Amino acid sequence: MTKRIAALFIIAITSQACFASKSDFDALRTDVAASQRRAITSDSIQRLQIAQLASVSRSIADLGDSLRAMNSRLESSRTMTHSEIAGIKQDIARLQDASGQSEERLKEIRATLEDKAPVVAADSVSTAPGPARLLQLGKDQMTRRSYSTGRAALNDLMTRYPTSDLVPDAIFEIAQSYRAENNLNSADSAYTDLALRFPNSPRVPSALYKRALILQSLQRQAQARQLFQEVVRRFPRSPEASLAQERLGGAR
Amino acid sequence: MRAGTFLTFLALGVCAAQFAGAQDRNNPPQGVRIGLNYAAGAKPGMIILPVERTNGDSIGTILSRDLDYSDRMNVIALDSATVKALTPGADRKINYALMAKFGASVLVMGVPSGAGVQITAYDVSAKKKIGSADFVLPRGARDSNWRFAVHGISDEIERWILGVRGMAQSRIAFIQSGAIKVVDSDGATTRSIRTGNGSLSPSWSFDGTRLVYCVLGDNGTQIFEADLRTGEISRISAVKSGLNITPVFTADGNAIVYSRGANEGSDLVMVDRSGYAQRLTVGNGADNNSPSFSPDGSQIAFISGRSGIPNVYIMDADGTNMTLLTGVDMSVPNYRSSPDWSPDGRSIAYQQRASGGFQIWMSDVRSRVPKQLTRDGENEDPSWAPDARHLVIASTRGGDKQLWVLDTETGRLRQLTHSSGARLASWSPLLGRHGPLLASPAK
Repeated sequence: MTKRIAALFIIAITSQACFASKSDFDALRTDVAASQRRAITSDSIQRLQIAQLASVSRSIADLGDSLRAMNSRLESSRTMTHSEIAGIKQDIARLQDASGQSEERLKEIRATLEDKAPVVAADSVSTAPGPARLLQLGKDQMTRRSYSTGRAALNDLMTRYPTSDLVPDAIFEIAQSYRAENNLNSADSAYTDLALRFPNSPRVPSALYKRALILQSLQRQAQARQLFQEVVRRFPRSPEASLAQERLGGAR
Repeated sequence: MRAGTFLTFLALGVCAAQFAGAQDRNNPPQGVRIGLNYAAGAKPGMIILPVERTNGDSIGTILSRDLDYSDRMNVIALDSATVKALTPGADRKINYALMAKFGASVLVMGVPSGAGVQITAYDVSAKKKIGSADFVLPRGARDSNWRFAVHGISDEIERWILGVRGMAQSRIAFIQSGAIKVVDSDGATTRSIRTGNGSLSPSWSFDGTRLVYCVLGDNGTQIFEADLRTGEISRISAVKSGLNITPVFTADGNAIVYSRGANEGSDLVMVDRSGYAQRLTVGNGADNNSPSFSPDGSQIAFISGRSGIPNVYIMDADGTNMTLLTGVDMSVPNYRSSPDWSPDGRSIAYQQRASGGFQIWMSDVRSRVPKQLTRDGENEDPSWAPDARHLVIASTRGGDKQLWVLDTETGRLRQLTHSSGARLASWSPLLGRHGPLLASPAK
């Protein structure tokens, strides 16, 4: 009797186990597939990031090479010929180009990393995208001529991450969007805001020059002239200074 | 009991699986819904029946060719017996089932109307009209104006089906033996513009009514403008003598931007109707040339040799905010030139020298990721079609240098010109708004 009960108990347990194991097995298979997908996705993101970092590293190495080359040229500057001076100018330009590209790539990498590890926003409970991602979203919308949507993303950046180093870029892009919409007064305000709040930003020469052009188109010639002069005085080596100098010479 | 429960679940499971399968069959993959349903990336099959009482280069032939060249439709070639079998009889009843067997998703039919032709397009699977309209055609000889009007029908059919107009009603200006010539988008009707010898770098205005170009003469190169509505040709007097090359109109058409040579290097200069000229680049002895405006006119792509090797840069139209588009590789310096900004604003095509010859590349404006488009022969001077998908290029792939049209999505190529020496092509915007043009300036 005991043996029969034991046998029935074993059969019951086994059948239950079989019945349960099928659904469990399905669930397990789904879990395994999902984790495999996550692993593949994670691997591909990591590979992308590694490739991007390698690319930036190469750019930085190139920058280092250029700096060393420039240094050796400068050491022999006493015997420099005209062509060598031109060569140094080209090196500087190449350096600027390479650093500009590295900067753009770094912003892209920052945006990708922010997606993986969210940045803590000013309100600290937010799950919003990080500042680099918001900047990229805003610029993408501008490219599609969805200026107000782009501005919303950039304003979000400034509200959530008021201390981010990308705030000057955001203000500049907002000004550019108003300029594209021919909303000259708002564009002027945004360029002014940038120049006042971030006087050391590399965007300032462009912002001042663009302000001067806006004032010129609004027939406020005297103010435009003052701004062109300010560009020449404050940023004499910038391309904007050369352009402003010509505007001052041929002002209409 | 437990076994019964298990069997019940098993039966339910089988039923659920069968039900899901049935649902999958009833719900095919979602495509794009505009004029008709078709899977994303697929080219819908199309049958175009001949229009009654048209001879020679008939309406049906031109429509078939245009829609084939669009690379967005698969125009099904049929022999005359099949065409006869498919053509509706007196009852005008369409045999949709037979059309579908030939792989057609769309049927296009036309009948002559009082002013020209009435064209109707049908969705074969839904057995209903997609679009229908009466099109006015010029009376008399089937000349270039007549063909121009038929190209407009092709573009409208494409709009019915895909939601955007095609690019058939456009033209390509190019240089051959120092003269500017203009050819239709399908390669027919090549004509010369009276610009004189030594012409270079033609470029269309954004509205397609004017061409700007430079002419090599005794005093260097001068910039001229041809008004295609009136045939009037005028020199841009604000441009002083010297080296003045690669002119383009600004987006509003009120100014031109060109490359002005100096003692050392060259700079981009904008000159407006009043003659006021403003430098846009600060070359410091480097060459800056080949400007191409973004479609909204806010930015310019151009070539600069500021870093020693010509590369493609982008800047705001006021000359500020300059950035490099093409990548810097110190170990493999690549010479890039002739950038052209696509009409949808997303890409810039350019030529890049590799292994001694130029090849065509394009770069996404946002991601800046480059893509090589050609590999055979030498390929130069890309210019975008108004559909932002096709490029006209000068290529030696057929032996001598000719113009070819390249589909950037599939890589399909077709030869556009058939007499040697064609180069420096510029594809017009869509021209339908202003009529056939070229009536008076062409000879």
